[in-house]
Amino acid sequence: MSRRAVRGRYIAYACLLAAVVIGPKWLGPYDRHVLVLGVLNSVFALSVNFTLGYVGQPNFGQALFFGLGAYTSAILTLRYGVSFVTSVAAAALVATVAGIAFGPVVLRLRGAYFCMVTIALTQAFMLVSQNLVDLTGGPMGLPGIPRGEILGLRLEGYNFWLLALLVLAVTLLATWRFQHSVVGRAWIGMRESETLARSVGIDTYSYAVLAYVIGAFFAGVAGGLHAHYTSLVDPNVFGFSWSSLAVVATVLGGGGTVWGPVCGAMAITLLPEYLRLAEMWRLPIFGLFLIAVVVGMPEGLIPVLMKRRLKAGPRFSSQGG
Amino acid sequence: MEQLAQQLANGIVIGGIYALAALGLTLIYGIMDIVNIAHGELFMLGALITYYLTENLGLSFFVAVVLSIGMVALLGALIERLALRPIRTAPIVVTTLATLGVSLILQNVCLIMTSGVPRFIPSPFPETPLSFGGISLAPARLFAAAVALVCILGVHLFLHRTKMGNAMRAAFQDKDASWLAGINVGATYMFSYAFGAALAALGGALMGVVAYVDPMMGAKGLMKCFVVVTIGGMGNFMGAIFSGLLLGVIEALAAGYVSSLYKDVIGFVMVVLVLLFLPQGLFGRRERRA
Repeated sequence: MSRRAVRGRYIAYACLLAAVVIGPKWLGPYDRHVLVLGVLNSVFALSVNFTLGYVGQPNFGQALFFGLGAYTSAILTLRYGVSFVTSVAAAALVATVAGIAFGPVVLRLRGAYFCMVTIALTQAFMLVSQNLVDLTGGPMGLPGIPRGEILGLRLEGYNFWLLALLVLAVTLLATWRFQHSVVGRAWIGMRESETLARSVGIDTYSYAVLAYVIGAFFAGVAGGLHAHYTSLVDPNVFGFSWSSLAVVATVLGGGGTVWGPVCGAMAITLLPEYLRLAEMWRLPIFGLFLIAVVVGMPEGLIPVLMKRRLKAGPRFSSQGG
Repeated sequence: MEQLAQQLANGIVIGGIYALAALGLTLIYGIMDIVNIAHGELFMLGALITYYLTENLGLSFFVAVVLSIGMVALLGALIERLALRPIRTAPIVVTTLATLGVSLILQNVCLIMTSGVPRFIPSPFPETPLSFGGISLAPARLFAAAVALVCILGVHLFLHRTKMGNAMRAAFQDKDASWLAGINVGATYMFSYAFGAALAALGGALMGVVAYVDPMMGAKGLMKCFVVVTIGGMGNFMGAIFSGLLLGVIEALAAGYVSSLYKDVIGFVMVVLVLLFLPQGLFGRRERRA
């Protein structure tokens, strides 16, 4: 590619970025709300991408960390009146600690076994959150969490959009850095063949636990932000549907890529809102769509698009998305 | 003492139902390498179809159970053909998502059709409990336990004494070798999924007659199956049966002596403990044997 084409491409990227950052300032509150949810879901999807996309293990229990983060920041804010930043940091901390506690147990398992145990563990937390009424408010949950403020800036409307974008950018950067590091190569190696990876001296167990813990951290952040943003936490944050949202987004967009989970999460957040599907039939239609997509392109959208491009003409940076 | 015996009896009834449904799940996993998220919905459909056939069409309960099992088995074959066969070699994440899609469709269509109200299957059994030396059991519960135990034995005989059963166990142990030996693996897969679905439906119908029917019972049933299958060792038939009974009994004891609020949590705690200390499952010494 000529230098001029490269420069043109950078200018185009910069314009796109500016539009994404500034554009929502003029959007209506509803549209902006949907976009913020899409960005938070993207962070959540990226968090499951570490174990699901890179290590290649079917993690259907990521809501465990999302829920822990959400409850942590809700309880700290409502009961102890801590600031927004502290409560989200605590959410990330609690989720990370939980990841360190559970990771070494669940990652003794692989495949279907791992899948069921991550689901069962999350379900146990949902039951506990329903029953610990004093702490969690029981099935009714904890309403009225304030949006909070950073450095005197109220996190309303456009400000929350900026914050969500910032967090997404950090998550994307971390994903990208990991993918192109020793760690990321170890993950991809073990996804392709764990036996082979072990035979060349990669401690696959430790790397898998690391992916799980990193994912827990980002899911905790997403959960904490989500609690403040929607102002309500109830036991459904531990629900199977939350975990599967992240998995569906990641697989639809393309697991093990940087942009895949974001595309997937944006698509499944925005499409149902704007296609105005009949409220009642939304989930059955979604189920049909899901089957059609996994049967039609099991690798996900981004890898399929990249393959097209590779066929059109070879490019050097074929790795990642 | 009498209370203990009573709780044990209640536990065995529910445990037998868990064991049946979990047997279906472990069969599907063992043969097809699929985590069947739709299993809970097949369980629920077994109960719901039985309800409609008895309440709306006025069929006898026993005929309705047999018909609903048959219908769910056919549905299972259809699901295998349309959603699972095209992605047989895909990674497990993809096949799990396909069963998740099936589960979303079934669960929500049933929610819309029944408007989510719990329903009771008209029971053909008398209300008055039978008592045996201090233990009293409603006849419906006794029936459920008896059917569950007979069917578990029947499945065991089927797997060991029939041609299809042997083909299933062969595919279970080694797909390629069984294919080389002339077993039609595709047909075995379809049959296995339908068979697993039928076991789930039977479990659901029995649960429906001892408790009630509602479209959300599938989600709960699925979690119980996961717990049972994990504790028993994945793809371990005997393990699934014993840990199903074990889970039923422990839950009943916990509800009686500890707290009924937390009885559903106990299974998950058991899962974590088993994984920590016996990662192959409680009965998992010979993991890939049927």
